[in-house]
Amino acid sequence: MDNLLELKNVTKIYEGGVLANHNISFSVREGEIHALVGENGAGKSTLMKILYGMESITSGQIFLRGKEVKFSSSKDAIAHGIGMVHQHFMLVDSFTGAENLMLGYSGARFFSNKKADIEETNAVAKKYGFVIDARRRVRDMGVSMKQKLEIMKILYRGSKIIILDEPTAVLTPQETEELFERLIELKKSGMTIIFISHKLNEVKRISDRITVLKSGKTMGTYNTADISEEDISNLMVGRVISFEYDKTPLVSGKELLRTEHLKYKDMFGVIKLNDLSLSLHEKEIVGIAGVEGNGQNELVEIITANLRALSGKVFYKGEDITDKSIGDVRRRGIASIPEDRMFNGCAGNMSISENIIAADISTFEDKNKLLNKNRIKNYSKELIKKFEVKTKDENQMIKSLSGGNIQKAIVAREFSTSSDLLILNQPTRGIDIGSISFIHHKILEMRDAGKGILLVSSDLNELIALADRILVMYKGRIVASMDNKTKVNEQELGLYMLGIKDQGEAV
Amino acid sequence: MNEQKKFDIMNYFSAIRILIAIVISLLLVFVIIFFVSDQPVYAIFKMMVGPLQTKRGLFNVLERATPLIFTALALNVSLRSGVFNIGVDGSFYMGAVIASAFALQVNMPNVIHQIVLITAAGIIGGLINTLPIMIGKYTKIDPTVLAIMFNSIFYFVGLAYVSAFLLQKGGSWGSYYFPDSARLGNLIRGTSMHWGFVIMLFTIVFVIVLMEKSSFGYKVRLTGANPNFAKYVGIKTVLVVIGAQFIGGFIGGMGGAIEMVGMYKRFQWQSQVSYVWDGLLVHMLANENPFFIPITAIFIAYLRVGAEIMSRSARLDPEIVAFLQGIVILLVASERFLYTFKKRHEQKLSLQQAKKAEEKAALEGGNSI
Repeated sequence: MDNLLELKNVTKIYEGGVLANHNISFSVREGEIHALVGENGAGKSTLMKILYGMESITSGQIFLRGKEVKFSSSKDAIAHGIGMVHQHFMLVDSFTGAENLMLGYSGARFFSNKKADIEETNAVAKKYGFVIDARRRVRDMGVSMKQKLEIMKILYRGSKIIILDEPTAVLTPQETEELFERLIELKKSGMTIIFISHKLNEVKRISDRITVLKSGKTMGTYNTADISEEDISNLMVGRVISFEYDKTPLVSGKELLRTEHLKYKDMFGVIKLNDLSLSLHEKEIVGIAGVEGNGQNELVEIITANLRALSGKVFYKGEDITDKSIGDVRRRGIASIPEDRMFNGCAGNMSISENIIAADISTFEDKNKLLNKNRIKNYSKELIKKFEVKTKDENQMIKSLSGGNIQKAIVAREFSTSSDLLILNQPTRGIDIGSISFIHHKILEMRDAGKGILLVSSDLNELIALADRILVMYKGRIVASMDNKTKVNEQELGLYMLGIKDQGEAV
Repeated sequence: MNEQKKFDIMNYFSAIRILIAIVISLLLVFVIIFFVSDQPVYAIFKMMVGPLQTKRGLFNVLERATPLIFTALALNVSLRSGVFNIGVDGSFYMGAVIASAFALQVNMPNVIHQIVLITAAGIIGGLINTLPIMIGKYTKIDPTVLAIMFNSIFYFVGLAYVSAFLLQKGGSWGSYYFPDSARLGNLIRGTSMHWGFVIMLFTIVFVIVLMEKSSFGYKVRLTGANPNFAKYVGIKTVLVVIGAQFIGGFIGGMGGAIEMVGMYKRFQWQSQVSYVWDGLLVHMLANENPFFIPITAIFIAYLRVGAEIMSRSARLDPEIVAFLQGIVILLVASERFLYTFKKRHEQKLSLQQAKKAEEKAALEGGNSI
């Protein structure tokens, strides 16, 4: 088999001097499923963006069918028959499936014909064996259907190479299985698929060859059949990852947080929280599992007062805090880590120390409302040391740190206030394994110190490793409450996340 | 730790960038002078050295710098909260109008009279500067557009007020002469340096302390850097932004009042007096740091005075300085100016680091993270 796509010594340096890819060379053969694995932050997504023309390369060459190509935008890549499904879907929410499929398609008519478009969409879906509703608006579609629509978009534009960036991250085990069947069929029909993931069992199951990336470099390309999961894992991180922690058995204490019958509808009228009640105690980690978009974010935002519930109440230590402001809620003792650290977790252009003091500014004020420089400096230095933030000094711009170190600084800020309740929304998303295990240990430390923790995560391993109790959210409801003292079964969680099983009103 | 001590030119990148922008635009202006003037060397000499040759020239520079400093300080406070609100211009003009009104229509003893009229101008200026944000919040109109609109409105409001109530009949257009109790006394004999200069020095210190040392300033900067984050940690961002606009407008209004009762004997601003663009230039050249605002303001004033001296002695249009300012703003504001220089430097550094890490890993025998 010939090399269809070949990269030679590709280096990418981002603005701010971040070296994302360093002398990467690898090749993809026609008609194979080529997996690209590596930890978060190893440079997989950057590499794919380069292939899709979204990022320019600093140095190196790309060959397609033996000829050197230069992509200045994704339009060029599409013209060369390369398509990509992004981690975050690139669909217009208010358009229907058919409209999204036709959008930007070069062969589309000037005036759109709704009926013909829907027929066309259905024909494409039938051809490739996808089940989608062409009339439904994207915002009303489930994640899995959106993903299928994305793949169809690529196929419809005649692409021969499909790049999938962590397609299974948002899917349940059952949906993943269905996706894999489709991908294998596509491969049989002559498509070349580049599959990015950090889930080794999936990679092992579906790919023909594997290229391993570690901190921006290739660790080699292997035939999937010749390499075991342990070997891949060793190549990826240099050691075997295990989220096995020695958790001290604790009896949970007083009730800290209680929500009663929370309801919320988003701007499109979709019900995000449907009569949700839960309670959380001291010395307890409550994990929230669920496919993304089933109301987890809304729940967190309502508890932290970033969002107002349509109805229902939130109580903290017995006090009604439903209508309190964000600052009031924080002052009462609820600290939180947001899902997206660059959006509202930090101020990228300010220094680490200015970011670290943000949660509790009043403690650094003198009598005359001036900030005490020395106290800030000592406090920042102490936290940087205690939370192992790798940095030159406390005055460095936080933006210039790696994702893991930014997250550690944010964790340092939120864990060092006198708060008794910590709300963590995806606290380890997209960071390196060393930082993940460091943050996990800190979370357990907080639990031992008597704090209550609400942990929302899409990483089931993380939830199973840390939580005392796991609640599964589906369509704004808690459909299952599982004791995690003996480890919960991942497959069973999946059934609840999909809504196939439901513990009903008993929860 | 050794790396920290090593001199790194990139630490001074923004300062060097601004300097290079100034040098480039100066050179361009010199080229133009060579084209249009019969005695180019003399003209350039007059422009660059002229202000330093006489005591009057020197003090002229300081006088010119005073309103620039007030405007730039006002912008420093209001712009760093993250909104592009240039309503300070209206605050400045109305500050002068209010000061004239209080000077002519209210009788008070010396010292108290000045304090009252400057404070009144400040309060009105502060309120004016919050308008674009308040109205923008409820109508979703861009505050910059609103600010420009309000600057125009307040210019005519001010003009109408002076015409209706303060105008002296006969002679050239202007208000009655201010009483002595309203004017700021002379500081140095033989120049027009007035006590406003001292108020300005206090204002500079105030803004530096407010923005760089106080917790309010920290909240303003945090809100400007990432409003979502500021909200997330419980800062009431709306109040912070409006507070910053009020303080900025207060300084602007005060600046207008001080300029009016310090430099002039009566209100004669019949055309729109605008300091906001010059103030913006000063604020940008100072790299948004109030500490550098006096220096950059004096520099701009120096160029202005130099250009006027040049036009008198070499018969060139002093507006050539406006051209110079335009180029400087363009270069300083454009992110891509000298961007490749910085990018290459960063790339080199990160490759070096990668190499070092590799060597280190090789020494330790590999498999450690």
